Amino acid sequence: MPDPVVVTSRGQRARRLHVETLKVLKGVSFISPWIIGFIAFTIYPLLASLYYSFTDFSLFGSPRLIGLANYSHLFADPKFTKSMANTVVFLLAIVPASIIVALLLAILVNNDIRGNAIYRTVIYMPSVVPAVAAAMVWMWILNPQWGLLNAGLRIIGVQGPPWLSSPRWTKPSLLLITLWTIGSDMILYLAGLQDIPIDYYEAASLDGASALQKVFRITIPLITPIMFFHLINAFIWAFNYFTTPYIISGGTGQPADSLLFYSLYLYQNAFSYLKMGYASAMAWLLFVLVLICTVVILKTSKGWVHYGD
Amino acid sequence: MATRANDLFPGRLKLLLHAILILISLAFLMPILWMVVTSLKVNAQVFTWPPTLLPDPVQWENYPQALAVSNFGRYLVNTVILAAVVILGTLLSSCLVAYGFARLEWKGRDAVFVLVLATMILPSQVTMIPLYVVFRQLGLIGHGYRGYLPMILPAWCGGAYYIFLMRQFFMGIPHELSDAARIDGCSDLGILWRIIVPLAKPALVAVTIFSLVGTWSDFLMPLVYIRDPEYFTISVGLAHFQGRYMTQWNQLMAAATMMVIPVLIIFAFAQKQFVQGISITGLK
Repeated sequence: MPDPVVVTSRGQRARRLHVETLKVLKGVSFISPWIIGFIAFTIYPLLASLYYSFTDFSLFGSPRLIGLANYSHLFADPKFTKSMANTVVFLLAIVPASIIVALLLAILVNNDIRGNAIYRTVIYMPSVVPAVAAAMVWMWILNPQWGLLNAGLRIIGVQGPPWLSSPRWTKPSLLLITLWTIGSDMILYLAGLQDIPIDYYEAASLDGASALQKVFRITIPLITPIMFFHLINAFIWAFNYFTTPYIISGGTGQPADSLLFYSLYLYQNAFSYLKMGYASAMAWLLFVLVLICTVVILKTSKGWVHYGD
Repeated sequence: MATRANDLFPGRLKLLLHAILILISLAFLMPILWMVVTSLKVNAQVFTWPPTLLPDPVQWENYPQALAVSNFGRYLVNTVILAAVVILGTLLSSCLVAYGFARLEWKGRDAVFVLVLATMILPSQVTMIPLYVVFRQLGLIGHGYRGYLPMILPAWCGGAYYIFLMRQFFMGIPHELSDAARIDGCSDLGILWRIIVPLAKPALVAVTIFSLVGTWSDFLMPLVYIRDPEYFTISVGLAHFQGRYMTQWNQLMAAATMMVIPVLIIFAFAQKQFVQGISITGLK
């Protein structure tokens, strides 16, 4: 005997299909603002910039197709190579530095001591300071002659470097400025730390584990999902890095192109030299790079990210 | 909330921890303090060796002077206008869209939501050029307040981060309330407006604050889209001022202070929202 529940008349099936369609229609109408935005401000510009990247387009007049010329010019352009190298070098420094510093700070303020809410607030505060203002403040602090940092260094008998005016010191300066705004990442790690059950640490204490052992055997493995999120964010952030080097160099990328980051050179091509086609080729390359990085991090994450049950 | 401490610094070592944290806090605080101190110095005191730690005399005139030469008041008004319209659009659209993702069941919903999340990795530099071209053809670049539309329209379409934040919050609201209302014949829009939105006030506050601080701090978009100095927002205005008055450090720092203070005041009142916003997006 067939199960009566399985047997449905054609009418019922049609009605269920109808109900499903109505549900989808309702869902889609609620998210329609996003759909409109997705088409107008994501899909269209993505495709258009792909098209522009194959053209010679100066904003005046219409784009003229030139095939892959923009892309082949890119790799022969020393400024492009420089901007890519600057970005990658900075990325390789800032990613590990920010992970280590943010996690270290989070571990410190996660201890049960009086006033730790104040410490957290003070460390977090700089990360809400607008980037333009922060860049200006640091330009003044890092001023080689009258800046606060070199004054402090001179007191302890060190001759401070010329910071932002020497190509060798611009990237360490940027590292310093970026680490000053590490507070929001610290909060991210702190939230992760507070999700670790306290029993784990108690059990480890009973087994006679040292503080360092607890950090390396419990804290770090259990914090890897946060590191994973942070890593993806940091890559995207580094490829987008624009405001601070723009302000410090007045939009030029000087000294000696050491502040010419990928996004800054892209901006210069588009809006200073009006090479829209060339800049679009850079934009698409950037898009592909970010995509590859994200996929690589995602794929490798299974090997090192521990998700608890 | 109780602190789940993993006490790495037991007993006597607490003092050491305090010492470390006080030093770190001072390092993080110093740039902000130095900005304010410099903004109150007379020019002769700005360039002295060793640097004087406190301004003497205190020169408040740097502030009105910076306001006068930089057109800062105008930038402030501009930014507030832009932020108000951006926030309104962000709130309306992110509520609607988040409701569609969090409270309605429909085929394909989760796949579309993954798409929403995926757009977060898209660098704005990739879409910037074609959008500039289109907005320019529409006559929206550098034409008074109309020139803000390139920044306003995307906000009125949601924005992945805010949709995500709002959806996470909406999902936590118990279904009993909305089910009861539905039985009473309430439409979905009615449920959203009468039940979900009043219960989601913390999320609305968080989105408002992030959107405000985001507009306040944004540099690249206004730099690209606003060509007329009369209509600069505060970020671009400050950069413009800095370009012209390179060595007037006391006035530059006064202007920077005026830009930073409102953000810090908001931060002081809404610290909880900032922290929640970060942890929601990081963990869920």
